[in-house]
Amino acid sequence: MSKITSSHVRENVKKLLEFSTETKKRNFLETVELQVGLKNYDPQRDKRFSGSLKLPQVPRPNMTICIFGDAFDVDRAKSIGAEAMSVDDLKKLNKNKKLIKKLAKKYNAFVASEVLIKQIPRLLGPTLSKAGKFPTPVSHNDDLYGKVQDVKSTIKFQLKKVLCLAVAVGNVEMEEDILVNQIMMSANFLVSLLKKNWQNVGSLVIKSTMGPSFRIY
Amino acid sequence: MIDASGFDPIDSAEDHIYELYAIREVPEGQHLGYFDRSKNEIKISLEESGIDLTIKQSLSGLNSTSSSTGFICWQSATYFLDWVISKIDNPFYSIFHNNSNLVVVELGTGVSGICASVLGSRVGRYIATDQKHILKLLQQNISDNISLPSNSIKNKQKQKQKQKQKVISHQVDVIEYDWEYPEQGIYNYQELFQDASAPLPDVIIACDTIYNDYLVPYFVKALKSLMSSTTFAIVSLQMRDPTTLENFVNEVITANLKIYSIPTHLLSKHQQKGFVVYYITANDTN
Repeated sequence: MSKITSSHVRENVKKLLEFSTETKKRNFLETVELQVGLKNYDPQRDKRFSGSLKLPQVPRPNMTICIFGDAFDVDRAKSIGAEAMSVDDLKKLNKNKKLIKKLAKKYNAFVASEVLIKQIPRLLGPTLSKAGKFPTPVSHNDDLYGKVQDVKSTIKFQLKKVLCLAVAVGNVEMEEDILVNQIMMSANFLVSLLKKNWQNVGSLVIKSTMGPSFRIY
Repeated sequence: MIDASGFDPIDSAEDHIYELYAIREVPEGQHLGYFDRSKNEIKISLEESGIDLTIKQSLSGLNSTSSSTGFICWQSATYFLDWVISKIDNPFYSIFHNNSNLVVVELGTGVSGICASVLGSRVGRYIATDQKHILKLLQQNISDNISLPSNSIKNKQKQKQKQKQKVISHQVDVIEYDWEYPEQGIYNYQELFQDASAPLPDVIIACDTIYNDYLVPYFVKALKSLMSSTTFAIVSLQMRDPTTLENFVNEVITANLKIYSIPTHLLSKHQQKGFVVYYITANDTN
């Protein structure tokens, strides 16, 4: 029962891609965002939603991830070219709030060795939790590269105190088909998080980082 | 009555929320948590216990402007109910299998009333509560689904008509208890027993009652108002916004109640990711 059709989304994706790859190509990889305006929604009284969805392709390949690893995982991180910090590295932050805030800002997400998960609040305090960046646990049996890719392709919808939110769902180098699919999946998932379904959706807009907005709903 | 030694006591809401969201992370693709919001009549089959229920819910109520969450059935209640009656090593199993005389109050039952319908016949007295506009459909659902003669289900209005009706065992009642007006709710409770000094319930159940910040202090106050030194509460929640959940746990601790989290291995497979069950008692150190 989707209220948006893929053909309508496709028209807009075409225009968006045309602008960002031909009209005004930038010398960095532009992200494509889905911007949502909600209506008939009382953030104080209604169910405050929070949800995540794994997309087929990583929306932002440049997304930064840091692995808090034990010796085994720090080694594995190096071999896949991922950034990592050991317990000693974390100890060196010396619970310094400024340094920890900087760390929380520097990375979009964190992965941590399963055995370290419980130690991390002792080492870093509440800063990561406050930023909503709970580390994803990884065990020695998990494929670390796969885990990192999972984290990168998972998008989060979380309503704060305002009635709008934006989520990165793709980038301008994606194929049209892929981008249309990522947008459709994201929009339909968002609606599944809303108590009144499409009746809570005021507007849906897609926009590349530097390009104009295209309204799809 | 319940041995809490195997539970995880919570001293710091912050640490608890961190561990919960890192370890019992919400599965990707998990929606808001409704059971089925496409129909006004739904069939619920509890996987483990094999119980089938036919429930009427109100989509127009859900889509109305006022407080509307209670108009449909939410998943966490179905998972909780199936778990509490079927998983033998769940800590509350014996309460609902020993034909007990316990008095149970459910807060924020919602129209579906599935816990009331199934658990009501397993305890001495089950009192389902919610806001006034929920009660009519709730009562109908309980009548339709409970395995009891329908005259043992009463609400306040009916009871007034039949003041002296004999109290039979396994009684299910429906009363108004709006968390914003706990005094009125307590009065309604005492009126059921026709006794202003009626003992407070032995057990309080609440499913999916924490979902925004606004209601947290009202809910905790409403909960505490019904708790004696021996009452315990079981609160089963879906993990949504971590800040809201942290506020709730903090509010419970501030209210001088003791709160435990039921460890993951004691939960059902559905509950192990994205859900949490709390056990709350009076703080016996005071």
